[in-house]
Amino acid sequence: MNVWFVSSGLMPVFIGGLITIMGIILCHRSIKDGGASQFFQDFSLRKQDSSGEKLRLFALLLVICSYVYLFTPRIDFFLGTILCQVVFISFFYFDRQDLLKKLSIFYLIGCLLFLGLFMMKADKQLNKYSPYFMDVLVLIFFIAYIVYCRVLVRGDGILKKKLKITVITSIVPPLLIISSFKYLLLIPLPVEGAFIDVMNILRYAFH
Amino acid sequence: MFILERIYDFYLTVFNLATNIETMLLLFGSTILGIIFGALPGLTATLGVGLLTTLTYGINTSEAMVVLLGMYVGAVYGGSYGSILVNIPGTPAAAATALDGYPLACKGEGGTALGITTTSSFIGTMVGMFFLAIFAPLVASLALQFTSFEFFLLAFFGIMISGGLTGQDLVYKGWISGMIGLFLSLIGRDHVQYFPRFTFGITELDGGLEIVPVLIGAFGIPQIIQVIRDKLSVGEAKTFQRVLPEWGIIFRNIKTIVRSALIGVGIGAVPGVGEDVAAWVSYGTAKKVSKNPENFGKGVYEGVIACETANNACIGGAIIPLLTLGIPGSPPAAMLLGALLIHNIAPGPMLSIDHPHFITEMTAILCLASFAMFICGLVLARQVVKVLRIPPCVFMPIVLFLCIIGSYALGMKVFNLYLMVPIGILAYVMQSMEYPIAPLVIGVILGPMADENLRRALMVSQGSFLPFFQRPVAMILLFVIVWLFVSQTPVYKRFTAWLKRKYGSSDYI
Repeated sequence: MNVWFVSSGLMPVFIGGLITIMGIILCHRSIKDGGASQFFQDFSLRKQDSSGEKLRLFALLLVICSYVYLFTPRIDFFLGTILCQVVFISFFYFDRQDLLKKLSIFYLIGCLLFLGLFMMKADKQLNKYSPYFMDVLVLIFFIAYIVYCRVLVRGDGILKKKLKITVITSIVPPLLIISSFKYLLLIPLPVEGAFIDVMNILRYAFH
Repeated sequence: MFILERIYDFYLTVFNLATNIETMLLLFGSTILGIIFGALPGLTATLGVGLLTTLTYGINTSEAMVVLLGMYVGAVYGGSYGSILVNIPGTPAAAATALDGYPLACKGEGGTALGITTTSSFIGTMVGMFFLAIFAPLVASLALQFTSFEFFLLAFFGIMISGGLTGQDLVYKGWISGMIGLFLSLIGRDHVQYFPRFTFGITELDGGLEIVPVLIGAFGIPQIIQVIRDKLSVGEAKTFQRVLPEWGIIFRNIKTIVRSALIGVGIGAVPGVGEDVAAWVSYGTAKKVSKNPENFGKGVYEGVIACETANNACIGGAIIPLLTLGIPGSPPAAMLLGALLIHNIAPGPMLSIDHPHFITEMTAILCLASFAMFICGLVLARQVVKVLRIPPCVFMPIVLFLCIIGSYALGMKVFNLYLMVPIGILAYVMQSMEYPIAPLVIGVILGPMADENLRRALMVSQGSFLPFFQRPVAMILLFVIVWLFVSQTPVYKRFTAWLKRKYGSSDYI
């Protein structure tokens, strides 16, 4: 039966129509309140605002997107998690704009390098030599990041203590949570690489 | 006899649950976790319930509900810790508590304030449970009379009222948010003809967007971004002595308790509105009817009692439409809906037929959860407060990790994560433009119900809209929806202003 009320497009048309009507009402209201000139004034005021908030937002989105889109589908899940945790915590726990800028540039460069490797499918080629090749590369990046943090915070006792807390907090909770999901809830992780295989060996060695 | 049977069934269920050690351990554990979640600024009851939903996947439904309700009740109560001790509410539901709670703590009455909130929350939850026990079966039996026409209008009404009441700015923003949620729910193959809509050839989208990752993304990611971006920091918490139940103060304010509990349950029953609105409405009402309204905001017990009773009573109220109509009454209830679907429990009018004991069981679990919250609140307050010292920038990354592993674990699809992040960023952008998120979530949940029932209704009536005007419940719902829309138009506002001027002036007294 080919009639309008059985169409799959009925609800999308209905919702689209409602959104259009309400959008027009909202547009009319915003024009009455100030219009385009108000919008451009607000926009230029925001541009003049300090870039601190923008940098924080950029760094945050960088961590979230790299964790979900870059590392989780391709790298050992535990390794990807602790890398992103140490980056995330160090970005904001040190509470220094200059450190945040340097660390986010360092991390961004690393992410771009890995992105290049993944896009050229070099990871598949490299993993033929050893199944954990990419995991080792990421581990080297993780260690390099911590060393870089150490270099940046040398001479500052408070920041050194914060770095220590950062590293511990980045490793211990993920270790506990991932182990619980893997061995108690029996949920296979997205990518089980070098570290998860070591966990498996340790877990089942005493079984 | 039927009523006596139900009362007997309820007490038997409570006894069975209370005498099971495993259940009690799960209940107290989840309640303590909920209190901690609620106490930490930036974490909400919705996020707590959502993250625990994944963990309950492998356990039986009864234990899963114990864990989730323990978390829900604990988190709504736990928000008061931050409000009272550091003037930063742990959850939006406790925002109004800070107005009088923090001044009380500054006066050295922090322990008293915490005792009042613990007892008020306990009473509020119990009142909510009472209304759940009484009204859920009645609403369920009424809902059995509903047809596709009523269900479509009910879904639409839920979105309209949620958008209307939760918007901070213009009400149109709330409605647009709800419509965006409805649109997101249409992605995938439609349930009537299995025709793909908005999938763009991506096979992973054929099944549509999964509710729990969408909810975790919509509530978790914006919260993380906001806390980190705004550099939220928690100051030193006010010290306090013992936390006692303060029954004397409670009995002296019994009118406030009763009024606030009724407000909480009533607002909880409204789709998508939630505990924060209940708390603010209750606070506003208490201030209005008080003999000394000028004292509100300076540390009065009434203010704290009004907020905490209402926000906890809202829990029971929110579960009524969830179980009987499949429409969540608050964002955490929306998460509970996701959990119920994972455990193959379809809430709605058929629930009392497919699972006749379920509503009684939920009532019993809510009763036990309120006792667990009361005991944990009195005994563990001083220990829980220590978690307020953890800097947000240390625990928020762990919350992000929990969101990611939680979303992945349901369905074990990395694609859920790919969807979660853009939805989270969209929710954050919408929030920063003062578009409320609750209607978006309600739209995602009620979208399939609205879509299927509209088309089914039109198939039955062969394309005619007349049954919407011929059926009494449908007509009432249609009238309310139209009135909600018309009441926002300038013509209506000018008319009501004219009426107030004409009949509200002293000449006519």
